[in-house]
Amino acid sequence: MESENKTEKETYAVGNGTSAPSAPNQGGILAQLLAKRSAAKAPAENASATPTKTGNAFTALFGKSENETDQAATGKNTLASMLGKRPAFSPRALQDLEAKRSKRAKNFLYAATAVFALVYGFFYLQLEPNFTLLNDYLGQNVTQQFESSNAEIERIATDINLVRFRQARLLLDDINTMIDEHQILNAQIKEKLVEVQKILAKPLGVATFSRKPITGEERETKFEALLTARLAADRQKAAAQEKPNQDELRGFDNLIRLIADKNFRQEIAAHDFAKISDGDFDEVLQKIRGKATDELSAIANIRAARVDFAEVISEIHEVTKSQDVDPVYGQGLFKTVGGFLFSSYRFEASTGRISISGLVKRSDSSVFSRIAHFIDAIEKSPRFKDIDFRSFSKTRDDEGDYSSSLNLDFELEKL
Amino acid sequence: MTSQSTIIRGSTLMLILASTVTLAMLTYGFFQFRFMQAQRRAVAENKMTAVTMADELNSSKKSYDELSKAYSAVHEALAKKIASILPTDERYTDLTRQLDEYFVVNDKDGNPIFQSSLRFGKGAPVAQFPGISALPVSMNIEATRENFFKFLEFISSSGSLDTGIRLMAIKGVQLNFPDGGELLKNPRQDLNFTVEMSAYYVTPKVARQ
Repeated sequence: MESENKTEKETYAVGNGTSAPSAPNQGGILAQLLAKRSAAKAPAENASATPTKTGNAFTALFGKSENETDQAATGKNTLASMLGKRPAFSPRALQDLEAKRSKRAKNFLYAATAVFALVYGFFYLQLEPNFTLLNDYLGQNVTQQFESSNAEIERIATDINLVRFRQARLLLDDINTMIDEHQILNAQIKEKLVEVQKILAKPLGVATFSRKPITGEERETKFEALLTARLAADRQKAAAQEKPNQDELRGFDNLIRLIADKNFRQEIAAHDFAKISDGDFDEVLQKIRGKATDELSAIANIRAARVDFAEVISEIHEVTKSQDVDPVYGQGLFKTVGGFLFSSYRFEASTGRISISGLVKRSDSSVFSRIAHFIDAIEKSPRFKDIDFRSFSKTRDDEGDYSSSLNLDFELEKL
Repeated sequence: MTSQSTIIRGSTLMLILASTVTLAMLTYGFFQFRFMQAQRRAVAENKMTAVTMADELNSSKKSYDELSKAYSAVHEALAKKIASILPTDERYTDLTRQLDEYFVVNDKDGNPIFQSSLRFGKGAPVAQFPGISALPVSMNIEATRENFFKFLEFISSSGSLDTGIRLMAIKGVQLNFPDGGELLKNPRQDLNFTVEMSAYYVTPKVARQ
């Protein structure tokens, strides 16, 4: 490279305008140009003591070249001084530049990754609900605080629901003591029912923050489950005692049943007790009695299942006293007029079977017809069914009356 | 030329990658921050709600306690009545006394009722009514027609909280008119009847030996 430059120096070396050294064959036009230029420059150089810019556009860019220096020293113009020094440009420099860029980019990447890791780590610590390693030092993280506060709301809401349902149960039990006299205590019962309505109409659920949207029905189901779980836990605790209080356990059972019976709660909440009809009101009272404590519920169910035999006997009398059978039954005219005379009844509640024994007497021989009428009347009655009497016999006494013994079996129609 | 191109592509690629990582971090950080802030606000609001609800709970507890005190006497009476209607054991001696008392009260001159026999069977759970057992009772009674229906009414009204009479139900009746058959017009007509009943009670936790 230096030898090249040197050669170039030798090749392009020119004087300072006074005389152009003989250049090799390249001199020609170039030498003339240089000579002219030198001539123009010389006065300017002589006039100024301060160093002025010498050289050309290239030297202006790249600074004074060695040739210029030589020129200054020697005063000679050279091509090298005109053109300036050849810029230092090499593949190695480019490679170095790129290597620097690559290094910077790598550092940037590492830094970005490190910061991302830090950011991720920070939010993991704050938002991961299961991370509890640092809880002793830093307390709960944000998500854990969020879940704790939601759980607290749910706990208080469950406590409120528990108190409300205990209150409702108390009112319903009080109503139960009055149901048997509801004709007299109608107004008081309705007043208490309105209070029960207010309690049962309030929703169980409370709006809490959640990550996913939740419908009103889902909220109600959730809080109902929380309430039932609380009662079950309390009941278990009470039952685990050395001498469990049976009344307390029954109380828990009654509450759990009331909470589980959504239909009953909705029915109570739906009625307008100011305008309810007597029939509907009786129905509501019977339902309340049936849904009451286990004992009251059992009492109501057993009483409802009982057969009223007085009413059954009364219906038999009605059938017997019909026109076609014996309108004067039971009037003591059997000996004189005839008719039906029942000597015994047999009733069985478990099967609903009824057996009647007696006599039928008539002055004419149409005894069998009377019996047949009675059988038809029994069958027609909505209260009885399945009468089956297929063997008839009659006798005639000395007075000319006809009589037939009667042993009838039939059943009570289930109401 | 080729080696220079490779170097250029490498640094540009890393730059792009680094920019992407930075962008991802910013986006992730932004959304997570918003989420965290939302949770913080929710926690603050929940704290205020909890205070309000705690007040409501205290007020509800107060009213329940007042109601409970007011009804404690009523409920004690109710529990006693339930215990007399549906005792926790057979209690057949109590029932004997209760029935005797009935017959004594209703046996009047000109309108008698006479319990000639009383038998108790062994109590057993009733499948139809879980938790409830029935004590079989049978009686032979001589009475007037009026007293017979009165007795039916007595059994029909048993189990009422109003009367506190032991809950009973008639299972079977054999009714006989010994003197010339049934006379509807004579309420004082003599008759006799055998009645089979069940007297109910709460099935004990520990079975009777």
